[in-house]
Amino acid sequence: MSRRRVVGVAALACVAGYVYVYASGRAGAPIRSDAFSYYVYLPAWTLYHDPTLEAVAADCCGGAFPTWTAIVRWPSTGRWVDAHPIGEAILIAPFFAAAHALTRWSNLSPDGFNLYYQHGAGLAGLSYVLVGLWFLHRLLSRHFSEGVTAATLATLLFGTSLLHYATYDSAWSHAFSFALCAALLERLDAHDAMVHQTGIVIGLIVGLIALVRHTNVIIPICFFAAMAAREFGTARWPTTRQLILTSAIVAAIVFTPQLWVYYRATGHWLISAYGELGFNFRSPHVADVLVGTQKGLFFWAPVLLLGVAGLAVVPPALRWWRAPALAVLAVDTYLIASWWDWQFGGSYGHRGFVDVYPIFAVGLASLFARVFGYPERRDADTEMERSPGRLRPLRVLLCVSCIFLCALSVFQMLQYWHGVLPISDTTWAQYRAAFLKVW
Amino acid sequence: MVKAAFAFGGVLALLAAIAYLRDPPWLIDVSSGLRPWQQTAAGVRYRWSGGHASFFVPSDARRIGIPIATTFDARGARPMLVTITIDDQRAARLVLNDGAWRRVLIAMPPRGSRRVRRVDIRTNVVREDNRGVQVGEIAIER
Repeated sequence: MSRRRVVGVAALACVAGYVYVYASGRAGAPIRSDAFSYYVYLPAWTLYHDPTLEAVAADCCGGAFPTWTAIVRWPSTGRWVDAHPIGEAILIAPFFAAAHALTRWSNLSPDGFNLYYQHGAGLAGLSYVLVGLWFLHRLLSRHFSEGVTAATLATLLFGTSLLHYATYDSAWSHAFSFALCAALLERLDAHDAMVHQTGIVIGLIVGLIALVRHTNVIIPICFFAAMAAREFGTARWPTTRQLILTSAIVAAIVFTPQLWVYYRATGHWLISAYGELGFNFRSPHVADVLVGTQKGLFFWAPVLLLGVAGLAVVPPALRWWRAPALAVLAVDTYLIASWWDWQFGGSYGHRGFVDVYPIFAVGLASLFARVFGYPERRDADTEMERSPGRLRPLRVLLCVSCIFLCALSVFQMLQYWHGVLPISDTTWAQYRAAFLKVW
Repeated sequence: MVKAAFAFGGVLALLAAIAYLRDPPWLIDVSSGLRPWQQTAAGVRYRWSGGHASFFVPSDARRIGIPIATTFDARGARPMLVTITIDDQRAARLVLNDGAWRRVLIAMPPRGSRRVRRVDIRTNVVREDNRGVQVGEIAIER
């Protein structure tokens, strides 16, 4: 399947889900809960011309943001500090501009929160998931057959919570981080394939990754470290060093506005607006975030186990990705498991991991390629012919498992939308009672 | 040729959608910053606004009457400045010092090129849980 067709089919599925969510009233307006505090910079900067957020607070909320917004007054300065950074607002900006133009055209209230702004932000998240899938297709089709690439993207979209974060909770940060992670991996791979590349593009992506969610900076750090370790002392090292240095400088420049936002509000360059709430590194809930019934990554998206297994059989050109991929997954797991609210509040599956789904995609594709044909794209057909009967039972098993797990994931997502599954703290008894229960 | 036809059709559809959105008939039912309808013990229907609420009235209205009130109790008793604008032009401003209902009468500007006019209500303070004023049923004189 061509890239355009794969992304087109994904777009159809996502738009259908989005229309269903809002036409049936399953969810409130897209800019709600965490999405509010990621988004609020846009109206503050462009409509109220007030980066302190005071004017938005006055207009929306009578001068004080509600506690659920995670926007708090910094004790020593009395100024508003948003716990969520500015990156998502920057990425939404083009959609916001279109929404504002439509607002003026229809004479709606230009308050930053009418239905045009709401769905501008919602559709931005949906679009960024598609952008992420586009980058993943570009990356995977460089190493795997079209069939493997299409199967991987379909499994990722329908077998995990990605579809949920492209539709129901599309204005949360995860759709944006997913796209940026996919773009980073694709650009790093393009560099590795000696495709003409500058560090500026990669630096922009890295800067945005840090701007959307600070802790995701572990992704470029791990991959750059692995790249440096692999190529240090080789003929390619000067080029690679140049790429890493340029990327780091550009990323630092891109991140500067966030530092200014923090400094202006608090008098400090780097802060945590969560106050006493934060990481608890001494008692991480590792088992809970991976396999627990409440939010366990593999409990709610077991198909991702195939993605982890597949990292053992990545094709030779991507073999150096194993160490950084595993390091990212390990560090990310530890960080998420150490967060005071390790469930990350209400979500379908564990939303903390959506950002790194592109890494799982590489593992998934590798496993599919190993079972359905040899990893290298040009050998795909010949290997199928070389091992006609030996792998057939495994292929059937894998096919049936993936289809079943995708169907189960979509069904459970619909259960979540319809309130059959709780938004958090799901117990085994609740899960069993709700299993395959129609709303 | 087929691609060009699709592109041309797409641009036409987009232009038609934009033209339609200038004055869509459903705008009269659009509001923001207003909670669901409630009823007082005396049978008065109202909706709580937030710090800023917005809704539409027919543009052929000659005058509109907006019943408003707010609460004064231990959780919030500061006087409340309420500003009402019609299509971003200030139309009324009043201070609420007690819990009595007031009816704000606003003479509307002549009918323009749209079917509706936008009414915005802003308060300078809010009560607990981001409640601004209670907005009753709007009376429209044509």
